[in-house]
Amino acid sequence: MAQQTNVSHLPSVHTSETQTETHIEEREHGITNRKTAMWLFLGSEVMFFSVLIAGFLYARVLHPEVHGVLNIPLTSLNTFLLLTSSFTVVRSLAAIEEGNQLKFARSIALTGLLGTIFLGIQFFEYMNLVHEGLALNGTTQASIFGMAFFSLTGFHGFHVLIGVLWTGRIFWNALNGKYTKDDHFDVEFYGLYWHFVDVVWIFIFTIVYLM
Amino acid sequence: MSESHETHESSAPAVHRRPTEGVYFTVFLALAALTVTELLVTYLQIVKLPLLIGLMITKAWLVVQFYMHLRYDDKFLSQAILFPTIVGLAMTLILQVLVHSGVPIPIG
Repeated sequence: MAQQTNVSHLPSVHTSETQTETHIEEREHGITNRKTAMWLFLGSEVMFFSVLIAGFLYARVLHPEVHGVLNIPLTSLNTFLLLTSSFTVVRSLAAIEEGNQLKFARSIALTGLLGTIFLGIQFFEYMNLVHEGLALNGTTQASIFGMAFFSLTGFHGFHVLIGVLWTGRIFWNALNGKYTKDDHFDVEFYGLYWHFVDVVWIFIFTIVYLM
Repeated sequence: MSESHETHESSAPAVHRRPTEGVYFTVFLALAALTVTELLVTYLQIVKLPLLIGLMITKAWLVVQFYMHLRYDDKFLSQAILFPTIVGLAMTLILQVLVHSGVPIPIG
């Protein structure tokens, strides 16, 4: 029996005991509690990264000369990798919505590969920057800039790492045939997180490297 | 109560409205082109700051609207992400104003 809330814009609460009934609930309203929760979580992440970006902008105002050590061509490559990975994620979602398991699995695998390469390039970039004198601690100009830079990009990289691990889980489930044309909400749920990581990088790439 | 339920159902988006893969690919090409434009603006130094900000916001908008399906989902989700975005942006701008105005900010 459906239970209804007083706030009309919130999804109605349905008690359901089976996966089929839960799926019918999704079809009726187009929004689920899990999707709402993910968007609210992403909202909190927006606040989190806003603080880190604000801190970076402050550090760059203090020490603009340190910006010259950043490798824009290499980071541009990373940007294209992450953009492409966003496409492979939606491609995988489109594939499973059609019931194309092979295309779905391949797209997920490609997403994981692109994310892994992104992390590898970022690690290589970090090693070079440390060699140039950027550090996480200390009171030199390079270290103050470094604190802000590594905090912002490091936390983003950590989010990418979580995304890559999640991608591996989705891929494993795909190999075991867990997702079907009618039951694949987990894929959309994962996709929201991955795209958000891409959106954050869009801001980081422009603000940190190009401006 | 049944009225609000019916209202919610009638205002709910169509079942499983999703872009086609062609739309996804078009958005991907647009994102790539915008990124190339960003790089050109950076190296050519043409009206750099406002152009970069505009390109950045456009790219983010494309991903959020089409890849994250926000334009196809309930409006409540748009509101859920819009509020923290505005707060985060305001916070960043206020800090920038304070920095440029010379107000001392302790950094530890």
